[in-house]
Amino acid sequence: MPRRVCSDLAMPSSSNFESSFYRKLGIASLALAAVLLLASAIAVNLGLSAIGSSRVNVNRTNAISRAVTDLQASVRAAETGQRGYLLTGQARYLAPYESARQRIPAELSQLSQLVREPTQAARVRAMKPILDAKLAELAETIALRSKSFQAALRIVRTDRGQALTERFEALANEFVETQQRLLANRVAEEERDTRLTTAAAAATGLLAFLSAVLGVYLILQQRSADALALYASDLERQVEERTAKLSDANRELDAFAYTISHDLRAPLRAMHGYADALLEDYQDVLPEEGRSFARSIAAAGLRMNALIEDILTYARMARDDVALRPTSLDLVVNRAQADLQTQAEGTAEITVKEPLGAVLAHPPALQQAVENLLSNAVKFMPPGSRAVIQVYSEHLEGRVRLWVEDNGIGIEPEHRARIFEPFERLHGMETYPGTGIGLAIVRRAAERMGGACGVEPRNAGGSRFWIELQAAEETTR
Amino acid sequence: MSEVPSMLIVEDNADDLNLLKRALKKAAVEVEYEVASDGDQALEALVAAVDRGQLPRVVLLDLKLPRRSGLEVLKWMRLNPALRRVPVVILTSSDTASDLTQAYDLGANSYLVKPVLPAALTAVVQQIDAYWLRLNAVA
Repeated sequence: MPRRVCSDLAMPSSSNFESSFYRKLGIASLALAAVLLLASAIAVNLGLSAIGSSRVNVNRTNAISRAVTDLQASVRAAETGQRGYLLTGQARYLAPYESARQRIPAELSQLSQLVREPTQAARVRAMKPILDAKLAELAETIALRSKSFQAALRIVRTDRGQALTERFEALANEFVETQQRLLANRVAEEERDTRLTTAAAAATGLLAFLSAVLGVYLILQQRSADALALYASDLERQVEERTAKLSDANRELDAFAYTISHDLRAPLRAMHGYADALLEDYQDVLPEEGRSFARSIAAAGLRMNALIEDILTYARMARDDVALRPTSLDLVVNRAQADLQTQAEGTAEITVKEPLGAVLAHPPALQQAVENLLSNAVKFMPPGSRAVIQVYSEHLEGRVRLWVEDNGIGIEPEHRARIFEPFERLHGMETYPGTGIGLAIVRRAAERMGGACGVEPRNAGGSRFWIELQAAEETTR
Repeated sequence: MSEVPSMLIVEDNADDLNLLKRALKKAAVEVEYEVASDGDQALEALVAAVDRGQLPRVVLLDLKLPRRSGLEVLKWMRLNPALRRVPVVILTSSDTASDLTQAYDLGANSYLVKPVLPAALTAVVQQIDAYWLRLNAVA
């Protein structure tokens, strides 16, 4: 079963990303931006036409003001002409009166055409009879003067003309005041329209921009989330593939190891079996050399068998999935000791300082490692000496270190690292037999169990080998 | 041996077979035996024996065989009413092989580690004799 090793990868597992919710939101945002832009354009358009009509109003208002001012000027000009003539009796003083008299009706009619506002229009209508009466009065006084200064003066003294002028001026002033107020209103209106239009355009423009930015941001987020999800699922797929390949490789290794174990051993059995048979059945017939040859064949067979066993053990330890359990060091060491005693026939003295403690280990691997350490301790002795071995443990933080101390031949400093390599032997086969894989097995076993191993010199001669593993709370074995 | 015995040896490896024959001689096991060198041959021999009405006294069975494995032969034997009670001794190269456990589950009676030593062979032969005695006593 492939192990899922990337389950703690920071994957965007939210369903929002998977259903591309953010992309849809982003598109909606962009659509909103477009709508806002359109609204902005419409608002600006409306605003501009409003401003346009305000402007027209303002222009008209200005024209009206000018028209009424002209009218007032004309009326005063007419009066000035009349007074001048009345005073001097000379016709040239009548010139302003004459031109004004002709202008006034036209100006009044133009004014009444311009004015729309009802009260103003009423005022303009009210002006007409007054101006008509005024012109009539002026004409009358001028006509009288040409005949008699006194007669004209008499009419002037009635103030009839003055009253008409005053009435006209009052109307005209009211009109002008109102007109100025209207102008102010219209100008304010125009300004307000301009401001509103600007504000609306700015606001919708800004909103459109923000929506657009948000939309783009959301879409990009979605993109990168999609890419990440794709990458993560791709990664997961790769991991699953590799894990499957690895377990395939492990299965192949197992099958291979099993085949090696069986098929290589068959000829070895034959070799060993025939050599033994030769020795047993033909002992009397064989000369000593012949017997020696037969013994050598048997011994070679045994060595080869041991080598195959060790290689297989070493190869099997390369596998990853080693489940660690709390394991009693005491039980492991006792069993290793028992196996060794049967082999060594009690030529070694092994002292175990109990309790050794419990570690997290793979029991078969630990057993193998301890047996190798112990058998080494017994084997590598100076000829004729008795092996005295001490086994004890040291408790460190969260770890337990098992020491195997011997009084053997020791290891020079320059070799201390080498000896844990496979096939590294420091001595010839004749002096100390062995496969050269024992310590490599110890090291690999230690590493597989999350620990370490090593060797130190012993002051009194010999070596102190150690293997260190994670401490366990309690023992189950 | 009291009766005219017969033994079926199922072994494909020539050297293992030679050494086994020598061990039989050394252990003074004077039996007539047949040799089958693969699983199919073993089944043929057993069928012929049943037809003859002459069951083998013991079957020495190697597990790693060409064409049909020793475990299959054993399974077939235990399903066959005539052969169900014939004792089977497994010939194995290692006494820790998982095949051995499987063979016991399928009804093997004993085992011998190759290369077979005469002493081990003698012990097994005694077990077989005892087995048949018990069986005949019950019958």
